[in-house]
Amino acid sequence: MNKLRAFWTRLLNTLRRAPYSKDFAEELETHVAMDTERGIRNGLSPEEARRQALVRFGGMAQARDACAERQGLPRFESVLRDVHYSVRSLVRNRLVTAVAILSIGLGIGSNATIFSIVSRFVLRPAPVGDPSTLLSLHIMHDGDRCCNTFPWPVFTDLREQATGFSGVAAYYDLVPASISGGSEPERVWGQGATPNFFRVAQLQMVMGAGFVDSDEKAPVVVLSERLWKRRFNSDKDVIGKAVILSGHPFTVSGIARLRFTVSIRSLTRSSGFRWA
Amino acid sequence: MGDKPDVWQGTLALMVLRTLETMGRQHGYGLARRIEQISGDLLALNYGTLYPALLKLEQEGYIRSQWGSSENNRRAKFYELTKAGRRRLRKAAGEWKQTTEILARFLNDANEA
Repeated sequence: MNKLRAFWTRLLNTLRRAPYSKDFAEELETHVAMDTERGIRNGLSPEEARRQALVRFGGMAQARDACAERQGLPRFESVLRDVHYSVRSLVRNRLVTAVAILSIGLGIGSNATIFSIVSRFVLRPAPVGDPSTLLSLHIMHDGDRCCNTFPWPVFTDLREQATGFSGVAAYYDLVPASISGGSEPERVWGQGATPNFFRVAQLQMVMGAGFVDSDEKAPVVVLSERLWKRRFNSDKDVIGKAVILSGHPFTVSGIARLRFTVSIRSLTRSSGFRWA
Repeated sequence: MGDKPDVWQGTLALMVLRTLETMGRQHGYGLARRIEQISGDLLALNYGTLYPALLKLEQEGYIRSQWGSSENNRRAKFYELTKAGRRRLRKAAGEWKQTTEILARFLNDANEA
């Protein structure tokens, strides 16, 4: 408690930048003068008395320094001085300061970006039902994993014969389309997927039922939540309505949380995927 | 300084507090002389260390100081004990007594053994 009080006093002294009070010097001088007087009373010459008093005192400067040190917080003061000095020199060299601030800013910015990407694509678990049981199938070529594009018959064979899976779904990556109707037409990217895709991946719908098995080759579309919010203004009645994609009408059957990343464990090793 | 032992670490504060208790208001020089006298001039008190110690005690609130004039009409800083200082003295004195008693037992036993 009292140590805290002392620390507080010293901190205040430091912050106020109280000049090392002349009190110490005066007090120490008083001490020596009193000791000198005693020497004189004991019959010494004034000079000798003072000399002996100083010897007995043992280091006037050290005592003064010790008091000065005790008054404030010397370590903190030197840090404070360093800060003052650096701020002053930064103000003097504006160009250097600007470059430094800019490069630190860019550094922080790029790190934050990289981290957010890593966090989104690697660290955060996929929003699929159970990532550990979701596998990505690949064709092997010369002992290396080659590609995950399968001919349609191979896919249907897999779907029907691979009994180890509760379901096999396929998707075709990044199909461009222009969406029109209502406001300005715009180019969007979508994926072709088998009707069981959302069920197999256990992806949740924000609204609507998604695809049903009879939808194969039917003109139905699941919109991403982002597109739905942006282009359809989060219209609650959009399910069942038609949107025009590259001139063909498609019926909206669901809104999917499709802004996600999946890390799918392949049969051989893990790999990262991004589905936009 | 010869064979006189130096003041042991941490005991100077206790000596100052005790001296202030018995003498009342006192200036630094008076305290220094008194401490030496009580120790029977056996102790080598470095006056230089007394003042930082006084400042520390003051910051901790155990003593307070005020400028006044001495018996020879010399301007001097006078110290006196605060309430917290009195409490501190009681506590520290008790602890010190206990320590010395325990040590004494050890040393006596060692002599007898």
